[in-house]
Amino acid sequence: MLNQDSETQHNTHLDGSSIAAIMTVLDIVSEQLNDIARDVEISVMGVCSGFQGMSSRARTALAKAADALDTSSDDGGLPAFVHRVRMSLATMLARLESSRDFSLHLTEQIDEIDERLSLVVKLGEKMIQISSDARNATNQSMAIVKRSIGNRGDAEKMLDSFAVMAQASAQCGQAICSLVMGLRSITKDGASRARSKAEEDQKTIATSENTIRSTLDMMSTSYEKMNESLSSSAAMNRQLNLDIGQAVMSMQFQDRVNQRIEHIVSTIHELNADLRPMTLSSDPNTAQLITKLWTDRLAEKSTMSQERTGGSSAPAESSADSSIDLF
Amino acid sequence: MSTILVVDDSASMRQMVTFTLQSSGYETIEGGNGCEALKVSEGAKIDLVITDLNMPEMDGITLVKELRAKEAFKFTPILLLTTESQDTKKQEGKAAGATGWIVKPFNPEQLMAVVKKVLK
Repeated sequence: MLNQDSETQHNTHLDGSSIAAIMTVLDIVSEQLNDIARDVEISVMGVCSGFQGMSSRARTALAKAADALDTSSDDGGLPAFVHRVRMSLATMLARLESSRDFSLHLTEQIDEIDERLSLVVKLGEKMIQISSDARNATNQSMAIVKRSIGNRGDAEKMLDSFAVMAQASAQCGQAICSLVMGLRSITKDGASRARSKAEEDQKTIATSENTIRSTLDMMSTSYEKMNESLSSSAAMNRQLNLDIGQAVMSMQFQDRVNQRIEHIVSTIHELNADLRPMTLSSDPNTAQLITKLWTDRLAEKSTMSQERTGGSSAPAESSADSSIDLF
Repeated sequence: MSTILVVDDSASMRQMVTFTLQSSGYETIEGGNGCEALKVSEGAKIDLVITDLNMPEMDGITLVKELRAKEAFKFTPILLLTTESQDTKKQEGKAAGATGWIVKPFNPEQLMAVVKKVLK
């Protein structure tokens, strides 16, 4: 072991100088063990911070999503809103349907008026016909009177006045007919307008109802999907927490490792203390030489500058420049 | 929400314990050893203490005794969270007034179950 590279390699007993050198090397090794423990602790803290951040972000995202879908708020959230809109829609549709029914009823009444007016027209036409018949009868009567009395007399005058009355009656009938025809035209126009208004209302009701119902259905579907997504995210978050819990449990082995290192370092110090009396007769130069041999050997095995200098290689302290070399 | 005092000389252990507790919504106060714990607990309203056993300056058992001597901590639950699993040490902790003993490494879920139980 130690003596293989030294001038005293054939000696089987360690002398004071060798022991002094071993003590120095043990000090260096224990210091390095402390550095390792610090490094491991720093890296575990970094990993723990990362998990902390992930967990916190997952929790925040979940809370925000839950907040957006909150059904426990005062207004009941989206489902209650959709329900309110459905209720308002039902009320609005009922009113529109009532308005449409009123238009249809109005149309029916106008149609009935038109039917009655057509009867009035028929009566007027009959009246005109009767007046015409009366005039013809008067004319025939006048011819008979002329043939029988020859000259105009009171009877002829009377017949003339009958003829005039019949004429006036016919004119009156015609006037009534044309007035009623005018009225029928107005009522027909009104009925037609009322009918087309009712039809338009019906179409509007159907379109609006379909659009609003589709929108509400879409909103409900979206809400359900978001709810499902939220449940799935919550499940994922629970799983993430379990995974993180597992990682936290594993990371605690660092604490055990550190404690064991601490115990080893403490034992090395105690060992050094026990060895100290044996170094009283040591030659400082030989001890220095052996120490150098060991430190050189340690340096040869070292791959990191921190191992050689005994410093900590805390990741946070490493600069980007020193960790990248371009060739 | 309850406030929990976490005492451990290992910063990473403190971080893991506080992270676990904070994730469940608890407030935490930290101490690096028994002396620090006594200092930060002065005047603070603490509902639970979780402490390591082996620490420099003042160990966990001494901390439990010191806290139990204070009126404010007479009935406060105190859990020892340690790698130590020897029965004699456990008995020492119990005699000092500790409420429970948890051996490291702790399972976060189990730790939370114990915390909830002792905080009831």
